[in-house]
Amino acid sequence: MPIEKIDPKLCTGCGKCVDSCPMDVIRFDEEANRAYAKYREDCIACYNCEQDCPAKAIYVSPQRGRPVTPAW
Amino acid sequence: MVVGGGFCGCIAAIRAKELNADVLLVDKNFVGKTSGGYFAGDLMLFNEDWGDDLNAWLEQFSRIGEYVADRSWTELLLKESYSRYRDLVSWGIPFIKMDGTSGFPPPGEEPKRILGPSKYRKTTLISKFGTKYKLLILRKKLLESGGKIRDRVVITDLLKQGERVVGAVGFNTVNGDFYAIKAKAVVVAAGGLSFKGTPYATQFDTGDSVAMGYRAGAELISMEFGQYAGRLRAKDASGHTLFPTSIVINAKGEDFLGGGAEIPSYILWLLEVHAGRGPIYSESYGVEREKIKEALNMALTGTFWMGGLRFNTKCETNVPGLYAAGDASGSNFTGAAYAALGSAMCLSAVTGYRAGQSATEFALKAEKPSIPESEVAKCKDAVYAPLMRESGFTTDHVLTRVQQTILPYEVRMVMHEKRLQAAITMIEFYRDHFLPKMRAVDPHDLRNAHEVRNMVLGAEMMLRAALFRTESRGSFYREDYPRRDDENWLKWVVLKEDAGKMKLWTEPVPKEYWGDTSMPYGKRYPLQYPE
Repeated sequence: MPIEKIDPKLCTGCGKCVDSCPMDVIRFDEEANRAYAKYREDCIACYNCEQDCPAKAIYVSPQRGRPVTPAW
Repeated sequence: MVVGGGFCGCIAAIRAKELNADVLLVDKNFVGKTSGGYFAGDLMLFNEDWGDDLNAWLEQFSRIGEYVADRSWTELLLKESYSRYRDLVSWGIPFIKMDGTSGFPPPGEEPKRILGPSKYRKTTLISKFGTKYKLLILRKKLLESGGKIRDRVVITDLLKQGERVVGAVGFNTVNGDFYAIKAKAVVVAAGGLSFKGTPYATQFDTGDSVAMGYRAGAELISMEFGQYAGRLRAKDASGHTLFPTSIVINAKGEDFLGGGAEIPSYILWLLEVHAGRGPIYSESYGVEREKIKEALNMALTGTFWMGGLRFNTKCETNVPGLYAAGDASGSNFTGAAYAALGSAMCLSAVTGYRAGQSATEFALKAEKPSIPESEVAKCKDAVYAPLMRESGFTTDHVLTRVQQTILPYEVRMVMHEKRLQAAITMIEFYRDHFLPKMRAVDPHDLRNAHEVRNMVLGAEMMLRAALFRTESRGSFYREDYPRRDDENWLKWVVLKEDAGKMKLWTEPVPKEYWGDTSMPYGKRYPLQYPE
């Protein structure tokens, strides 16, 4: 999966990554006061969340979740 | 009301607010971080005062767009680009200045403008945004001027009262709440159509604009033309920012374009692969790394689609009360191939402004909509239908099948009647069999369900329009019709819903846009396809 982790130890609960996601992948856990990748399978690896995270808590892998195998 | 809060939708809403409209901007994501425009770094910028030659710029669009570019729109884009750029600066969006720093050039001062990194873009110049967060600045500007924003609301369909569009319905993708929004005029600026495909990270436009417009009776134009983009199969996280140069070599190490093409050559890369000489390799213009040679991946791009809702220069569609702008629209400004970098953002700025203005002028005179509660209840049932089913096909299954049907290069890039027909057969099956039995498990999945429903309809439009055009032109290549057919196809393909069927027809491109038809074929069309 492209979005591999939001490190709970590093996440400060600022919620920026929730707003950053164009695919509605990330949701906010009010009780734990941190963001988590609820719908990882829908991540398209745009890297918005990783780039916007001030705590550097997010890692997005360049491996796409839905490979369409190229012809070569 | 504006549907879609990207670069274009924000500009439409801000313009409407300037004219004292009561404006609501709705987006399925967070306005300020959503849309293809969020990722764009360039804005095409023309100004005669800086010595730009209007005819030379127009000529580039005509030649690369292969004489089906609507020059009335191209000219409007060029002529209004400076005013829109000044708006952006005055609203607080910095640009890269002549000295290379980010800032706010005073009126009349030329910002840094460059040619795109390709040999064939010889005339048009682009300016560079001085911030990544330009859309957040637009969000702030809209809110400060009194406009309202609803984030995370998925608009599924337009509301109609007789022939007129009078609002839209949708739901909140987080809590599932239903929305029925009445509006005197609606601007649809919710982007183009790609398929969440993997090779290119910004392919999230799911055709919401064209699909909701079609279902409301709008005409669509040029749905067969698309932009293809190559992306290097890079190994690190900057993968999506790496664009290939036009110098490419095939698997045998041959520079098959002879040192870079004079014209957009993506289709030739694919034809090299088609001939069994792939993979192909290129060096990149990367943001974070320079000059990396990697195998290329090709995709129907998510950054810009030429086709869309047909509209006039006031951005009015054929449906009263419905306006289109940005990538949702089919302006034909660039014809059959994407002729200039930064021009899609220029289109968004110019049409956003025009649509915001026209919709406001209409709304200020229009009667207040009145929609019977029974009609709203019917719409509500349709919105939640996938959520109500207790069993059925997953949204993931339907999406995967759609992607597997339309994304392979041999379907919508290197095309043939038989393969297009086969893809249409499958898409019809998804439409008639999967969609009515598709199940969503929560509001997020309901969003996926509506998106894939729109993709199925959009795919049908693309495929039928492609089958209809029996020639090749620009980026549009038919293996079974490899030649341009100037006699029969200096035309645009238009389509709309007619008694439950998709009806297609052609409309002639005005003669004054045809270029010099007496020119020999090879000279008129420097991009040579194999025959």
